[in-house]
Amino acid sequence: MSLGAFGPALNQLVFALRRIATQLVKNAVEGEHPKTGRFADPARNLDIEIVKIDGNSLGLATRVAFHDLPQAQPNLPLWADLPERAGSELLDALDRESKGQLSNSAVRKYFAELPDGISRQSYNFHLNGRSIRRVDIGQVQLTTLPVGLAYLRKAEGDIVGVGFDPGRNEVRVKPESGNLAVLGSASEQVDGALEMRHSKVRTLSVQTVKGVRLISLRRASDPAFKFDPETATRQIFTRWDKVLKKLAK
Amino acid sequence: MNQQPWSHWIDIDRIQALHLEGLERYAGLRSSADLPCLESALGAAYNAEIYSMPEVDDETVISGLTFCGYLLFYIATKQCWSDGSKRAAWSSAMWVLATQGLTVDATDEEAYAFCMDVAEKRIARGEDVVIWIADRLIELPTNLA
Repeated sequence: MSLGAFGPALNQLVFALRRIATQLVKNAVEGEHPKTGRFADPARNLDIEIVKIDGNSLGLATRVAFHDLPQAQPNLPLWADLPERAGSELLDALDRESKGQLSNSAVRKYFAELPDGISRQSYNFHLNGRSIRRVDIGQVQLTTLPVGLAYLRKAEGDIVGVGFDPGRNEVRVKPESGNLAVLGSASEQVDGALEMRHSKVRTLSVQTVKGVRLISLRRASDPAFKFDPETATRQIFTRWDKVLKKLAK
Repeated sequence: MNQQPWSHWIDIDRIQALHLEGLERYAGLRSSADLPCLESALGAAYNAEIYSMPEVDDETVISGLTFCGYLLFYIATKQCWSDGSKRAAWSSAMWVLATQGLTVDATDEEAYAFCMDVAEKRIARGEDVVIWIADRLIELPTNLA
């Protein structure tokens, strides 16, 4: 594997460190210094430098270096321990993100940029020769943030209209409170809605980017679904028997 | 028992029971589950659920669909067992749907091909699994319930 395969990931790691550092500075001075942004700029000079490459592995010995201390107030205690705090927080974020716990989007991008085939990662953060934080990671479990996904919605109300062929098959339900729900439906569901038009109904629908689709339409007076574990087990292994058998091969 | 926020849909014990049932019915190498792997799958699926909820403060919204899809995705793509992960992934997802009186309308061939696509990462994102399920979601037939 080319070392170049790690280039985008390592750039992302440095970016993550700098972002943590700038956020630490902003948190420290925000509201008390009129130019927070300028104050945070020096934190962008933090760097991760390769000191040596370990033999027999892809191990990199690196150090967090702080270049170009700010001209103004160079002795501020804030700067003195910034590399340590930022480095330590970076390892926390690496630990959390590797387990799928959302913590730091830049670190998440770092993991995503790593080349395939890495089964184990170890990060050991030293300060003056003393190990202050160690993170060992097996298989990385990244969380991806879903956008515009599907969700279920229930409603109880009156059927106030239906639509059918040659137009769109739909059932319109006016809930006791809230907006009219227009639910795309199968023709059998439209027929069912016509039969229930004088009753209060309970609906379950799924909302996707394609629209809202009716899944369940029942009279509100009907008993609610009651989950039974034994029935569910039997149903799953009956209905999906052939699929599960084939997956076992 | 340690109650997790996803326990009303499914928990580790149930996933392990479904996995074992899959091995007993269809054969396979029995092995202990990598429990941190399963915990991670459940936690990550729940994270996805939390962060995907629509920004409406509405008690009519029902959660669980995204959790279901991501759980299938994570169990199928992680090797929490040496054998039976795809079966466990599918049966666990169907279990989560069943807790809400739901299942999917798909032929056996479609369901099998879908599981293989997820396991072999031709479907590479959890959200695509959620959308596949959402597009086929139906009420659990009463003759099977």
